[in-house]
Amino acid sequence: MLTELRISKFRSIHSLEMSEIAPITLLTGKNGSGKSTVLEAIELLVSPEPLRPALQLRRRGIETYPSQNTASQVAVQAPWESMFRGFDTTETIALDGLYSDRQVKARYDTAIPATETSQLKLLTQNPQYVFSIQQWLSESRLLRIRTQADAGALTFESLVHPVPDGSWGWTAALTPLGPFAGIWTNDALDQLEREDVADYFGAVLQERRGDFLLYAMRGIAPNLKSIVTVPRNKKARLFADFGTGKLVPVSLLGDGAIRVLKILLATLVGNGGVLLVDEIESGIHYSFHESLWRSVLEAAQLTNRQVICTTHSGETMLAAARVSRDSGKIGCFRVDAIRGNHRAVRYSAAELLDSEEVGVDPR
Amino acid sequence: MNEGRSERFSLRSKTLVLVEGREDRFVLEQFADQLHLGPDRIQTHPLLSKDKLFSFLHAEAKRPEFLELETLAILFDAETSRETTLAEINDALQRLDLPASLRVVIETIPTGAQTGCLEDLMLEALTAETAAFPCLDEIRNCIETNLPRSRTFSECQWKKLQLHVVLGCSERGYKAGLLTALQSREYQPILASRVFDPLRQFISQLAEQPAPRA
Repeated sequence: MLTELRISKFRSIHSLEMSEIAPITLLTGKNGSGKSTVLEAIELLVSPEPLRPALQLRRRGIETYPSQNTASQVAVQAPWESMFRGFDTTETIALDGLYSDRQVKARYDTAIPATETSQLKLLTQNPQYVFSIQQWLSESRLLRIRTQADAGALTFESLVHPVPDGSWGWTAALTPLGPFAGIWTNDALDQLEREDVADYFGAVLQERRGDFLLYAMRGIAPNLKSIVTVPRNKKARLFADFGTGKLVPVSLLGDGAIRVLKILLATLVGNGGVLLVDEIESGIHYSFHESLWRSVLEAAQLTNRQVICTTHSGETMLAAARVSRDSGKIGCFRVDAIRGNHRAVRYSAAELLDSEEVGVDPR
Repeated sequence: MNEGRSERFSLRSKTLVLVEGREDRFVLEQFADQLHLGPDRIQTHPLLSKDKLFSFLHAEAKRPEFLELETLAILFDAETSRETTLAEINDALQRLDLPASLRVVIETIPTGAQTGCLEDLMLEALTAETAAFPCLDEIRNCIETNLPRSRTFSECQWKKLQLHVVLGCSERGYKAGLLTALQSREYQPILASRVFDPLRQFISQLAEQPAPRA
């Protein structure tokens, strides 16, 4: 679980610190305050190989697609300058955190000393790139990603570099961060809408969490009898059974029910790690927020998964606070951008409820 | 006394006055308006209970807008004792981590008086009407004698009760509650009474630029 986070020179944020991050954490704040940037920073800091470069490059209009050069690699159409504050790629992005009681660091920079060329060559493992590295170094066309766990030294993890077809590729070394459990993001939630949804459901069933999923789904779909998979076109598809004699494809459920299903599946698959969700309340009626939080809290405890999400909804914040009360399981930060400086102000569940009581909006 | 659910608050001014009741807010806003100090210059907010002071400021101080606040004034009923009220306010303030640059002004109603509340001033301003009911003390004695033992009224509550009697019997007419009466045209002239001069002066002083801290 991530309990502390420090961000330096990442996107719009010059510096930001958060401590006492709760197992279930809501981030709120005005548009443009940096909430989603905090989610991205967490993603970059704690996501395991080989996700890190792919996730990092997929954001904000930087599209990814499989490169022809290596089987599992990702190329980009646009450079990474937007990751750097003020597009200043001479700076170093620094992300630090305390993750499951381990000090972890990630550094992103383009100003790579020429003396490290030999290390970079080793990293690329590809003779056709070695030829160009010297030139790329002088043009700052390499993005170097280094990470550190505990007291170890900062170690090269990945190198993002141009490839001959004019796009970008990345090469990864072994991460020193060790066996982080999977991180499930909005990207994973999006995938659920496609063919993977039945796979996630199958994994949840294998882990004997199907009953919990059904129980939790009844919070928003009280008449739901069961969720089943049906093979179709050689691919398993997910259907909802409402006891009407006909199975309903989950894609035909309401947006809110689909959203809750996605969140629950992402929380219930596997164990550990962090689930990051942008605007968690999206599409869900406020009257279901409390049952959503109750389910998410129980599911997260079941899987030992931390859930960090953004929200603009005062109702969902209060619902979360009511579910948590004094347990300390749910906390909130409001991210403020004040004259270019960022800060994260922490609210306990009790403080959220107190704010409501005295008419002060914590958002 | 808790007068119901808190109003939604949004800080819009560099000077904030916290008061107990909606009537206090109405009166202060009238005086501020007379001094051409709109809510953008001096904003008044009723907490509806003294007990909410700490929770309110604790929550509000976390908001980014609070960093822009220059003057915070707290104006509560002296109730049974000015010292007790001031001590309660100071106790709440000491538990808060307010910005060092914030000017904090605390006062009681009636300003400087040992005991009392807004209703004292109202009764004083309604001298003629109050004088028309010499039985007010008898009413109080009667109620005190017949109240259940578990029930006690503070001095301020007696004043509120007496004011309601006076307003209820007044020829000016009285609809529902002190706030409604204050808002009605018939009672507007009362606020011109010299009785309220210290409050007007209080508001006027708040509008002055805070002296820079050493």
